Amino acid sequence: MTLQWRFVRTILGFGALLLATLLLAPLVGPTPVDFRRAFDFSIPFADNTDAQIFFIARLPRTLAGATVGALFAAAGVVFQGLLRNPLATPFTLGVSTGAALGAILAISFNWSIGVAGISAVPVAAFAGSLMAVAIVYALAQARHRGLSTTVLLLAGVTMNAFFSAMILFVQYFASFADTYRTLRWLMGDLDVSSYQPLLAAIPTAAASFAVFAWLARPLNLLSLGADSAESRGLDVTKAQRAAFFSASLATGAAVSIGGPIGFVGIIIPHLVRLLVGPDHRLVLPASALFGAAFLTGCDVVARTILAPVELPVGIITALIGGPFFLWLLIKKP
Amino acid sequence: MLRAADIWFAYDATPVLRDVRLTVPTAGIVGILGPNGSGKTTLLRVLAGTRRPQRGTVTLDGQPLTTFSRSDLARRMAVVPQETHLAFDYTVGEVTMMGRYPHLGAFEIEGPADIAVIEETLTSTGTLHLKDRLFATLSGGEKQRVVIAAALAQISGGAPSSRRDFGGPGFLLLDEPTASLDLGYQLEVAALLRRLHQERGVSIVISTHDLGLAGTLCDRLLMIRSGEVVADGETDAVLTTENVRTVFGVETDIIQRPSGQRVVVPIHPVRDTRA
Repeated sequence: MTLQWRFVRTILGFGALLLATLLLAPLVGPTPVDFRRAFDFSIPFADNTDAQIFFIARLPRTLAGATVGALFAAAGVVFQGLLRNPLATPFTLGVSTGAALGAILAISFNWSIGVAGISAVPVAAFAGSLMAVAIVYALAQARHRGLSTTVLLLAGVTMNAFFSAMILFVQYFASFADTYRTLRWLMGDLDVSSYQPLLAAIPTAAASFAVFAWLARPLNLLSLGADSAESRGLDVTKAQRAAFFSASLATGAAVSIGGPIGFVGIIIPHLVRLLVGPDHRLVLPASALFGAAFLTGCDVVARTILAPVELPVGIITALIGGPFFLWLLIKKP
Repeated sequence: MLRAADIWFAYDATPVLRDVRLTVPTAGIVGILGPNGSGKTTLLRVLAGTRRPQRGTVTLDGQPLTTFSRSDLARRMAVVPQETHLAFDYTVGEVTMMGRYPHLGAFEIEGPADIAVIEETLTSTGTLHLKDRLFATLSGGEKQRVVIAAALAQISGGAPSSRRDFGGPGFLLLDEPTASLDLGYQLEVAALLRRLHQERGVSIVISTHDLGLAGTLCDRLLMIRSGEVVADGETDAVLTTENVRTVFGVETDIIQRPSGQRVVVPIHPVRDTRA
């Protein structure tokens, strides 16, 4: 079977799954919605509660789930390829902890200055992720010509620990209300209630996906090891840099929308590799589509399982992800 | 012809290669011999163009390597490392197809011509029947033959879309290809290399500390110790008990069998000659 045909089949299969999820997810929820009324545009929007629930609560939440899921899953694939380690996640290199520090500073100091109508917390989260990326990159670059993945990994793990300590430090002095908000943010939640954070993340997300498309083949070669990849004609340093920055930005954008929602970036790439094999030209697009469908589906579960209580989706992904990780560990003899 | 002139190379302050010169004639088999840490692997990397020497130049058919693009160079020269560990479970076919990387554009997908090339090189290395197996499940010898097939696919023309017309069957650079293999596989890989050289005319550079393999397979040898050339020339002239004593610090018997095969028997270490 040729790669072209496998590619088409993979995109169609996972694309259909995502489409079905996107169509079904906004229909499900604890409050019954009359969809005929929701789409009846002759009723003024202010008087149409069905339309309000659909267009302000459910639709942006569904779209946020799809965007964040696609970003985390694809970033996971790229980090795993870059670090040549199938257990790497979008959070391994400290990007999300940096984002968390930013978000928590914004919450604790009650920053209200948003940028272009976006509230302060996502902006601060994205800024925090950029800071983490810059520090980790500078550390990895300082020790080595090009990028050493070992140093990258060590720098990432160290910065993760350091940012966590900073978070605890800020938390220690925070009020109960702020601590509660911080905790909720750290759980990861898609209750965005507006299109603003989504629209703000779209340029970064689009740029990252454009780089991912180019990276698919280089990532295949990188799994041979840097020296072998280089002798096959790949500019390894360029590919590693592109992978590091694009996946970090994708992670930063996703965290700024939904907080550090765990496990999507590792469960999805693994399931996809089991289904389509390890070729990144199939794994990357399939993971993006499947990740989008998966997180949207998890959010439906989070919204409905204890209705009328809406759980943060991060709890659901962690409840699925923990056992999945264990299964990965014991799967192979 | 691949020629290295007056090469100095250092990863940090201490030079790993000092004033090394080497010529690999087109369709020649040259062995680089030396003990562990003598600079063999580094010399191979410099020859392949993946490391740039601080001084000296490497030229391919008279043109400095630095004037080639990465993919032009990769279409002419392929490297076979001592061992290949993959981060993910690729099949043998997929690993071999990675050799076609420099022949394709950034978003180009390999076509029937590329599939024909890898099937030919897999056949040539006797591994076509393994095409759909996972690379990680192969034995050491099978892996090495598959990596050689990928290297051959890299220096083969084939695809009509690839800019390839460079003339000549290209260069294979092998870094201790038999070091982690047992006796049977060592002989198998040696026989494969000899056959590829005879049938396809590929030029071969092989770094090794296996004196018997080098003595039997290569027409020319370069012996290095601590990054410096100790002897360079025809195999008969270089593979002598004196040179082996100087470079490896070991007293040996070198036996030439009627078949032309050379056997090097280590007797005992010599003190004070190793730096």
